[in-house]
Order: sequence, then structure tokens, then C-alpha cells
Amino acid sequence: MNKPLVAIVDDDPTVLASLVELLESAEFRTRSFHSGEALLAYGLEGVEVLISDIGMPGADGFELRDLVRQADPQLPVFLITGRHEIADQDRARGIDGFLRKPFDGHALVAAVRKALSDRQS
Amino acid sequence: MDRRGGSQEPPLTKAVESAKLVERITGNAWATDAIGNFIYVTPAALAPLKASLESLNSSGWRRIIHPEDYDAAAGAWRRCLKTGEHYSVEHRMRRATGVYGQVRSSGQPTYDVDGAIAGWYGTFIDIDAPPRTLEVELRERERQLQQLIDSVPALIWSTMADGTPTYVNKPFTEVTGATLEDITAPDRSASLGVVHPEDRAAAREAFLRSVASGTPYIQRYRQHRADGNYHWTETRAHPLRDEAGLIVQWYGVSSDIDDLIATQDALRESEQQLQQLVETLPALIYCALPDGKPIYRSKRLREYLGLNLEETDGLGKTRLEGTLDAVIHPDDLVEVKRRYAHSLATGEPYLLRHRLRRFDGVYRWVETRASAMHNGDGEIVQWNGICLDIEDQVNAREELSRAQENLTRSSQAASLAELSASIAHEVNQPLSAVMNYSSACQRWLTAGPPNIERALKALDRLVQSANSAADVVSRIRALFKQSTDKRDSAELGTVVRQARDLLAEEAGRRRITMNVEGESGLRLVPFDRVQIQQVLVNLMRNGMDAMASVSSERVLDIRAFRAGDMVRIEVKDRGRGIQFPDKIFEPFFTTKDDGMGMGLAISRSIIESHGGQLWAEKNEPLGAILVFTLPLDVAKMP
Repeated sequence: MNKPLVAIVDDDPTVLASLVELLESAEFRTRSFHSGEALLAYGLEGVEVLISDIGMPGADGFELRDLVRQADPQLPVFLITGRHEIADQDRARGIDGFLRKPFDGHALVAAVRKALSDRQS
Repeated sequence: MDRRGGSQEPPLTKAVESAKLVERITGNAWATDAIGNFIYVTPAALAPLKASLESLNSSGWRRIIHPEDYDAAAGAWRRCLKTGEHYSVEHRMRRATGVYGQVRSSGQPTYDVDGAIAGWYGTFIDIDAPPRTLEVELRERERQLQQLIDSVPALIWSTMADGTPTYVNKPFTEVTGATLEDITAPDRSASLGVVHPEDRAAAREAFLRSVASGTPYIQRYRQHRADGNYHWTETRAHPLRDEAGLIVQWYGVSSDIDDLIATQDALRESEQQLQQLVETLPALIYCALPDGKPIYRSKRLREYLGLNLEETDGLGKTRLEGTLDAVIHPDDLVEVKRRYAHSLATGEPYLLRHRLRRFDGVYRWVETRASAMHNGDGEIVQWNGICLDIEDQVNAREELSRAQENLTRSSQAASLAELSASIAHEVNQPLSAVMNYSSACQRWLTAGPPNIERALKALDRLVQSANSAADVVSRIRALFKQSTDKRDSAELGTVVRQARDLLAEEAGRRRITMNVEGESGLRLVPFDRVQIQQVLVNLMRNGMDAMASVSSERVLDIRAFRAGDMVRIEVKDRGRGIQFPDKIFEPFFTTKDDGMGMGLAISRSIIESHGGQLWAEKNEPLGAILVFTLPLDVAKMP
């Protein structure tokens, strides 16, 4: 069985690399992008989960989520942010896959696994 | 020839006898001798001429005949004397009244027994009018006077001594539409029917008073016009007295002054409008003489001050001085007087803001402006002033500066919140990497079999991320270390005074007395005056906040003095003191509900970046002292 593919978008290379390391340690395949535009240019072929930073130049996490959902409405999307005040904003409420930095890496891995199994069932 | 005649008893010559015969028929006659000298003239005709025979024979005759007719008459007479022809000439002859009348003068010679001319006799006959008596002459003159009176463009009337109307001239009737009958009451008194009903009683009273006292009458009233309107009229009447001083008539003349009155009314109305304008302008207006003596105050100003012009008189001062002493705030009085004196002396406009005592004893801020009014020669004739109550404006301005202060404080708070959010974000990025790597490291180690290589690699990245978090903290600290090019060598005293001025309004509002004392000439090594001022403001405001709830005297002392190579600046309050003197400089430590707990932490960073120190001490008997030091520029110190 193939390992599921997780697409990761973050403009901070340190955070991006650490997320890749985390998900690879949990036996996922990863594809990392420095911006939402880079992801869209590459395409969503084979992507089963999307993890994206919110505050980025160009398309932010919310816009990216809306765009990919148009192509794949069921795609699990996780948004993460370092700015706490954004987490309190109205449009961030009611989203399951929403995480504040710093977060527990194990919790993220567990959440991704759950989303994948929910989708398969 | 007998040349005697005139008053003497003449010998009755044939000429005289003939003349007397003619006299019986025509009423007058004359006789002369052979060469033309009068020897008889009818006495009744001679008397009114106030002439005698002698005077007629000298030059009198010439005076009686109209000058234009004299030469012809005299020429004809000389010819007749020469030739003996009958004399018959028409000429104008002066009468007793002084008026010339046309007469035909005719005469013929008498002859002696030898047939020679012995004398002449003749008569003169009025040919232009029936013979006039004195009464007729008077009537003529009266008629002429009447014509004169009727053609004068004035309304003329007369009454008897008792006021009974006797006459109105033609213009009077034409203009007023009233005849003599119309202005005569049934009891023969003056009806004053042409006087406007509203003015009639006053006019009658005045007229009767004049009639009774014999003093001239003058009255203005509206007088009826033939077209039904009324015109303002001024009527004057004077009495005519006889030789005994008794009044025989009153003569009056009425002049139409409607245009004059209309002009006066318009002028008065215009004056009233101006007055109303001045009185209703929402400003306090006054006028003064060139020496400054107040001579007018608008109603609003009178009501505002509760003072009339004269009320400050009689205090042994000039009115200006008395007024100023009474209404100007004692603290402003010297300046107001100085400026007034300057303007009065130079003619320059006056402008000053000061406090003015209102009628209720409350002093309010006003702005007073006055300028000189000049006449055609450029001399000052009056000072006109306006005074605007700007108390509300002043209050609004204080309100505004308070709002600005609040805004500044809240924007400071906002920027601190922004700063802390940025700090959180900056720190969170490497921190989340640290946590991701630690989770990954754990997974690589707990995997079966453990992936030591990847675990070590993740651990290495983890350390890198932790270091970058430390870098962030260093960068933040560096933010407070301003570059040295912003620093200058300002005098410390100036910076302290500016900080005090910034907070003066707030201190007044919070009833806090600020005392600033310090050595002069304290020269610091170049420093960032904005940052040091921020520290001072921060410490001073903390001190005020500390005294917010105390009931004792609220005093904030700021002192600056030299201590070795440093200057020591103390901010002392008399509040409740500091409970945690060690913690107050830690970031995010606060004892205030609305505080961020960053003020003292940042202040300490600033002072330390300037090579000084900031700490807290206990004030005795109560309160706290916040002390900071800054290095002196010893080289530049005296």
C-alpha cells in the first residue's frame, strides 16, 4: 500500500522543513511548497491532505483552502498560524483542522491520520 | 405882469379868473403868467403833492411829470408860450400815493386889451381811470399785496388776535383743499380741520397757548392734502402788533417738510437698524473716546458685565481704569492695562485674550479686539471694540488636548499590543519548528527499528531552530538600542521641562502639584532626547497614577543633580509605594488594570542602552522614588 501524500505550504523555510520532517517520521509522503501559487502550479494530483500556513504573501491559507476545495470538496485541509489574534477571527471559527503555533506534533499527526481514515470510510 | 401867486393873495388876473371857472367843473385848474410861471394852482390838488407854487416854478414840475414824458410835455409847453397855440399834452403825472397816472393837461392863453398874451390857464384830467380817492389807492395796493401773497409758494393764513381765522391764501386752499370756512369752527375759532386728527389736540393746545401769551407759534404736524393724504408740515405764526403793542392779527405760514421728515425717518430707521445690528450681534461691543473713556456698551455687554457705564465712575479713578479694575481678572490686569495704554498712545489695534468677570462673578476667557476710528484728517475720533466669549472654545481646546493625550496613550498601548503580537509571532515560528523536530526525533527513535540517523538529523535541526528563537530575542532587544546618530547634546533641563509641560494639563486636571528642580548646565553625553523624554513621561505618569487614590497632598517632585560622573534624576511620588520593587521592571508585570506591563521594562532598556541605570527606592514617609542615571559629558562640564 502506498504511503499517503501530504502537501505542505509555508513561507517560512524552517517551519516548512520541520513539518516535512515530522510527517515523514510518521510515514507520510510529503511535497512542500513555499507559496499557495506554487502548489496550484504543481497541481493537486495524488494529494490526499493539505497543510498550510495562513499568513503568507500572495494567496493566504484561507484563499488556498477555498481554491482547492473547488477542485476537491472532500480534501482534508489543516490551517496553522502563529498569530493568535487571527485564530480568534470569525472566519477561522468552525474549522476543524485549525492549529495554533506552537502545536504538539503528535496531535497533528493523529489529526491527519483521522482525517484520512474518515475519508476512506 | 403880476408875478405874484401861490399863497399870497394874487390880483385876480384874467387867467386866474378863467382858471377858477374851470376849477368848478374839473376839480382842478392852474394859471400862469405870460411866460409860464404858475400864479395859481387849485390848493386841493397842490396839497397832496406837498408842493408850493414856488417849488413848482423852480424844479417841482419836473418831479411831478413822469421822466419819460417830461421832455415832450416841456417842449410842447415852450412852443405854446411862443406861438400862443392851445396847449394839450398827455403825460403821466405822479399822484399823492406815489403812483403815476395818465392825465391830459390842456391850457390856453388870455389876452390883454392890446391883444397880447397876458397869461395862461388850464386843467389836467385823468384819462386812464376814474378819479382815484385814497381809499381806491389803498384797495389797489391791497390787491397787489393779495396777488403777491397768492403767488408766493407758501401756505399763508391769518387770524384775529383771538385766533379767529380771517384769511387763507390761494395756495393754502389749493394744496390743503380747505377754504377759510373749512378751517373756521362754528364758534368762529380755528377748527384746525386740516391737521391730522392724531396731531390736532397738540396743535390746538400750542396755538391757544401762543394766542394767550402772544409768543410765536411753531408746530409740526401732518397736514391734510387735497388728494386726501397728509404731509408733514411745519407751521409758524407771529403776531402783528399795533402802536400800543396790542396784537391785531396773527400771520402764519405752513411749510411742507414731508421730504425732510421722510429723510429724517429714513435716517432714524437706518440708525435704528444699525443700532439693532450692533445690539443683536452675538458679540460684546463697546466704544470709547480717543483717551479710552468708555462711552457705549451694547446691551449684551451691559448684561454680560451687569454694569452700566457710569457705575464705575466716582471711585477716584478714570472710567477706563475703574472699569478695567472691576471686570478684568486680577492676574490679567497688568497686561491688559499695558496693552491698552500702548494702543491708546500709538493708535495700533488692540488684541488680547484675557479673563473677564461676568455679572455672576464668574471669570470667563474672552478675546477683545479694538481699533481706532479716524476722521478725514486722520485723527482718532473713537475706539470701537468687540469682545468675544471664547470660554467654550478654550474649554473645547482643553478637551481636545485631553482627547489627543488619551489617543496618544491608547495608540501607545496599541503599538505595545502590536509589538507583543509581533514578538509572539517571531518567537512562535522557530518554537513550532523546535516542537515539530522534537516530535519527529521522538518518532524516529521509537520507530521499529529506530532510525538513529534521521533522529540525529532532526535533533540537529531542533538546536538550530532553538538558536534562531534566541536570535529573535536578541533582535527585539536591539530594537530599543537606537542608532547613535539620533542622539544629540541637548541640555537635560530642557528635556525635563518639556516632559513637565507635556503633563502639565493632566497634572492640573488630577490636582497634582509638580515641582521641578535641578542644577543648571548639566551636559550629558549625546542622548536620544525623545527616548529619555519618554522615560521621564512614563515615570512621571506612573507617579501620578500611584497618587490617584490617595487623599493626602498630591505632589510629584522631579529633581536632577550631579552625582560623580553621572547625573541622577529622581521622580518622587507620595502614593502607596511599591509592593514588588524587584518585579516591576520585568516585562508584562503590571499592577494596573489597563497596563501592559511594558513601560518600566522598556524604560530600563532605554536607560541601559544609554549607559545608565534605572531602579526604584522607597520615598519617606510615603510613596516611591524612581531613579535613573545618565552619564555626564565630563569633558564639557565646567
